[in-house]
Amino acid sequence: MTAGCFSPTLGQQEQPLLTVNLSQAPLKDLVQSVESQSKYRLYFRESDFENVLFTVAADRKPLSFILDEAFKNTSFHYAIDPELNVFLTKDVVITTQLLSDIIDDPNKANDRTKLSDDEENNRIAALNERRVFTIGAKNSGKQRATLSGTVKSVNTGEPIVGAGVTVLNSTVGTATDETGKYTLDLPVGRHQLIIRSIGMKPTQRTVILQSDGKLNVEMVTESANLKEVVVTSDRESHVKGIQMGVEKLDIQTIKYIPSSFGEADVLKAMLTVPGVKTVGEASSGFNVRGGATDQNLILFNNSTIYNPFHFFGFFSSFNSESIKSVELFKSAIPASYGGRLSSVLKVDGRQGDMKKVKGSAGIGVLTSRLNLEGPIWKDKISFLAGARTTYSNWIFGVVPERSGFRGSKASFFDANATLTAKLNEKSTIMVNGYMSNDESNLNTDTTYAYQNRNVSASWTNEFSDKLYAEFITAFDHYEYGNKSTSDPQYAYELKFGINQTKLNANFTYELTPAHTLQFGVNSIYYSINRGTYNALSSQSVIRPDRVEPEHGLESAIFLEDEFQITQKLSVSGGLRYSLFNYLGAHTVNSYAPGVPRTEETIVGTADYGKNEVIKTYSGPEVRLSARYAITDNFSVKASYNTLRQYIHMLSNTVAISPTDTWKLSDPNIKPQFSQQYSLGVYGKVFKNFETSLEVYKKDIKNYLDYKSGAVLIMNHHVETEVMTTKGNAYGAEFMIKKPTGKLNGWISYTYSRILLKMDDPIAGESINRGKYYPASYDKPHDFNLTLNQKITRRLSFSLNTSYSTGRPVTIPIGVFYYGGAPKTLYSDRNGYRIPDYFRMDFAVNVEGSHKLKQWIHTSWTFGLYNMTARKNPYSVYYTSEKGVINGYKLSILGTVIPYVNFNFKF
Amino acid sequence: MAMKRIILFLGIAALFGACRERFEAEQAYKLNNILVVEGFINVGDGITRIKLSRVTPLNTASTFVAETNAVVTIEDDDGSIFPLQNKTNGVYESGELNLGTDKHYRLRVEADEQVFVSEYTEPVITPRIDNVNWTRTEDNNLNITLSTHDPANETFYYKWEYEEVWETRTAYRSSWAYENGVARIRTSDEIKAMSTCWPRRRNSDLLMATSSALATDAITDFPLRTFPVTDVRLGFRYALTVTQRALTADEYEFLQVMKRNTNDLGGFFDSQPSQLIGNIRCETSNAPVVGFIGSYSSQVKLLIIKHSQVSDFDYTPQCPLGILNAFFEDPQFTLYLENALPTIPIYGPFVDDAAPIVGFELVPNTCADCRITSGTAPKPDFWVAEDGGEVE
Repeated sequence: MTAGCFSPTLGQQEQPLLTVNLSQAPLKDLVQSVESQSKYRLYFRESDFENVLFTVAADRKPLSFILDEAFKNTSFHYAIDPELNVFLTKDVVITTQLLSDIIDDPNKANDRTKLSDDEENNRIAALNERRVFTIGAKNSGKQRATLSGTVKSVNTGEPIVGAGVTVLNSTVGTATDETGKYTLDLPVGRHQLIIRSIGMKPTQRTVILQSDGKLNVEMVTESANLKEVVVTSDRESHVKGIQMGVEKLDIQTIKYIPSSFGEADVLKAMLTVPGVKTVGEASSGFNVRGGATDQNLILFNNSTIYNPFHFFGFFSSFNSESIKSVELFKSAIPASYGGRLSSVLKVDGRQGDMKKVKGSAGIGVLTSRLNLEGPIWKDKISFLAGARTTYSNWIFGVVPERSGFRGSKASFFDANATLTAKLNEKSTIMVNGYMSNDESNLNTDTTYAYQNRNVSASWTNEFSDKLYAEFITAFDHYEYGNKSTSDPQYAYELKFGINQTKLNANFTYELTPAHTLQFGVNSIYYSINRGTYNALSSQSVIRPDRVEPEHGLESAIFLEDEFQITQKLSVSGGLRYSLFNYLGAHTVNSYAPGVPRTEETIVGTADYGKNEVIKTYSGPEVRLSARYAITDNFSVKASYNTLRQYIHMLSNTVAISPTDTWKLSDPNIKPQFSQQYSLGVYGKVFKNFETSLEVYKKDIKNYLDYKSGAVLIMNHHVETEVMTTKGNAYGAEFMIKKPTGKLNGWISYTYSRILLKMDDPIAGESINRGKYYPASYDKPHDFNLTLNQKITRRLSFSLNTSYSTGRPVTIPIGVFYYGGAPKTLYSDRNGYRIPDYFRMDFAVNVEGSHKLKQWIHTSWTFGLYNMTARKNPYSVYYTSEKGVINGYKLSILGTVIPYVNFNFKF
Repeated sequence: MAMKRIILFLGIAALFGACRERFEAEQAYKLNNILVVEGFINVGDGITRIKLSRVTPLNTASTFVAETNAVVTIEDDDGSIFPLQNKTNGVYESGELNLGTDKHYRLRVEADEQVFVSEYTEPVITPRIDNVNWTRTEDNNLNITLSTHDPANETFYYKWEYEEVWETRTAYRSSWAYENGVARIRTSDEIKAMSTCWPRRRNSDLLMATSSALATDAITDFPLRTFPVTDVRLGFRYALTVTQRALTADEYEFLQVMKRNTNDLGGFFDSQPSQLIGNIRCETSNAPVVGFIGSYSSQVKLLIIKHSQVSDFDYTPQCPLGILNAFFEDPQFTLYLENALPTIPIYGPFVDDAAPIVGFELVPNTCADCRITSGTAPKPDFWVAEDGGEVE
């Protein structure tokens, strides 16, 4: 079978006549013969034509005749386009006319994506992979040209952010921006592009680049019914991307990491990557590279989440069904982010499907979740809504009465909604809402409740091929209220809350193909209720109290240039200038200089009016990074970052507790500052293994520590309770990852230290005599192994193992008599460590039948959390028994926890 | 609050099948080497009394381990040295030194081949105690309160120590003694010493207060002591001698930390315990030491409460166990006497106009000898002087 297809325009042209005489010759002889006699350029995949010999005898015949003759009775086909490019293919018939439609006409491209059937999508995707796309006009005379375009999901029409676009057999590569756009500067000629993104099936495009042009790429969702699900993160980005210290996990990966109650937990999964630690499994918050828990900026669809955990840290408060991916920046933080010292954790929710209504749900032992999405106006407006709740109260109903916990109450829920409106191809509006609620009493007479409430809206617009802009406004709210009503005489309520309003304008401008500029303005207005204490009954003797609320405005402008100097060397330089105004109305104490701040050393107070600027702090923040690709598979990166933080969490407990409050920098409390140097090498070895080694050193200034027994709640002059420390963190993070294959996963090992030193000359007291001491989350050795073994398409096993050094604690070491009574003598601050932590979890994932037409897809997860039943101590505590003080280790999940989870999609 | 926290902590623990196991940290220090220094340099009337002890390991029943072999001196910044006498049980006392307030003083302790010195401190003059009062509450508690103020508004931090003493009597008198198979009648002095005692107790709590948050430097009705009016202390007569002294802000902080550290023992939401930073250091090594020594004057006040002032209840000494009639011929007779005392003899049938003693009525020894529970402290000097006569 032979088929030739000529474009109509070609028919009008005179076809050159060629003479070819070959007998049992390989294709390259044919190609050489044709190309030497004409301007035709022949393109083909060598592997298709290996060991195939052709016989042609033609004297002054058109090329079509020659090829018809040569391919007679074979499965080879050809196509000739108006630019005299000739494509030789095996099995596949291609049409050159269709190609230009796909490439250049967005409306027609859109038509082609109106394929609701997955099979059809796959068929198209497979076809596109085999096609050769000719880009731009021929004979432009340029040596190099720019290829740009958008990467989208064919299933949902959503742009794919952060997809890696790399060129085979070269060091050139890039990643798509927030709108899915990519730009590559390439020599003219034939290139093979590899496009990968987490959660999507990798794809490739063959292009012949002649001059500047566009190529849009559509990717197919990687789902179990298409292909095996692999644990993968940005495969190419570690080696080829310019960013360093970025960890990205997609929801597919997260779902395979065994978790404590079987529910995929986006934040707990982050703990498996190097450099991220927590003080214990039941603790809220996490520590990144020696940073404190309040030094992480947690963004969920542009909203700042102040407390991302439910129930004192057992669950993260994000519904895994609504999440697309989680990205953590731990060293090179883009200049568009600021306001926290240690990291930016970006949790991106999915956008609602633009094509059809879908849903998914999961049922677990303690929680259930539901997600629903679909178009409101097909291809224009979509919605996505998720909700999650717990029914853990039943546990309290069945515990023995004698335990004293029957009737305890613990409940939480969270809900999120996203509305996406595509105004046109270049303009999208998104509105996000999020709320979470927690309430528990644990059979005390106090109810601990806290809430997040967030709304955000964004408008993204592509003003031109070069200029892309994103405008974000968000309102974030966090509050807690602890109350007790059991004794009317002492019925009280203690409340705290933060409100912040955010306005961001971010621009991306492609100055030249080698220079991409990012610039913008960010602004946050804070309004903090520092605490109210009120009587809750008429008989209550509680004296109402209110700590004066505070206000502040944090603003920043930034400019960042990503400059590809050569194909091997790229640098990114960013400068962020942040400015913080502490605003009235407020009364501010001033203290006698050079002496410890106490109530007695207040020398004056000043009253400031509404919105009056009380104090201004400002400073530049530098964000530098560079990458040098030594070979295609081996690169070196370095970065230097400085950051400033104007808001502080006040907590003198180890974990985030239900009474922690936040406080703005003011005339008496300076902003925190950090600088970090990091260096990393990234390489691909044995084809499938990615390795990385990153080392870092970080200096922290003005981190708050607390005087002995500081009173932080309802304190009207909290500056007398705090002192500044400086921190010195350093470490090395090592990771080997096998992202693909039946057996995939990663091993990571981190050595890291975080040492603090009290350096406040006017603190009045010193911790450990002013020497460096380990922070309570200093865990030098940290090892993690996450493995996933695919048995069949529907059955897989996951194993997670983690080990870390026990965290430091301050413990009583002796008893002495003073004032006639026994007193406890404590060790140096954090002078001891609890025993090392070790845990191994195991899960079996069973996918249900995946017939494509079936309307419901089910999956089961069975697992064992802590399968060795090791009693990992969460903390040590001491209690006096018959006059003897005994120490106990307390482990919270000190047993095997079996779980089962049922998920379904429709 | 601390208790609530522990409940919350255990609540979370119980919910998730938490379990606890014993934890013993490896000890980094030789604990018995940590010296504890308690007291102050008294610059006014009265003596300086320093108590030296040693820290004991955690997992032993806590007992007071005195440091009895130290050499303790007060030094001033002119180089004068005032030695303290080594009394019993780790107590070291000076005579009446009447140290001047124009110098700075420090304490020097030589013990276990180490030399410890406190920082030189400037004497702080303690204002006098305005009054020590007692009131009786509706629920029949006796509250003793103290008020003081500093007209100069300079003191702000106060610490108190008290010693209480009361008279106690036994339910029975042991008129006879039976020793080595021989019975004899006790002398009246002997009986008196056994039947009337004056137990003394010092406060076992750090009592301190600050007026720093107040407009005037005054402490009003600070609660010193509370006990029920039916307490044995008020059976006859009760006296409380309170010593007041000023504190520097530093020593106040030191004591506050010590107090707080003992209350909270590292629960789920408990704040970090803090290290005690005193003003004593070791000159000869880096041996740790606990203590804060300042120089202060002190003020003393005495409060006496007689039984008649709370006379609406009856206090009669009770003996919970009854009387045992024990005979010499009982083979266990001597065994009984290990925990009992003879009160009156039991006489046998008359023999030659005389009835021989064949046994004794025995009472538990605590019912006839108050020294066993109350000690042998002598009658206080002021017991007589206060009202000119003995209390009956």
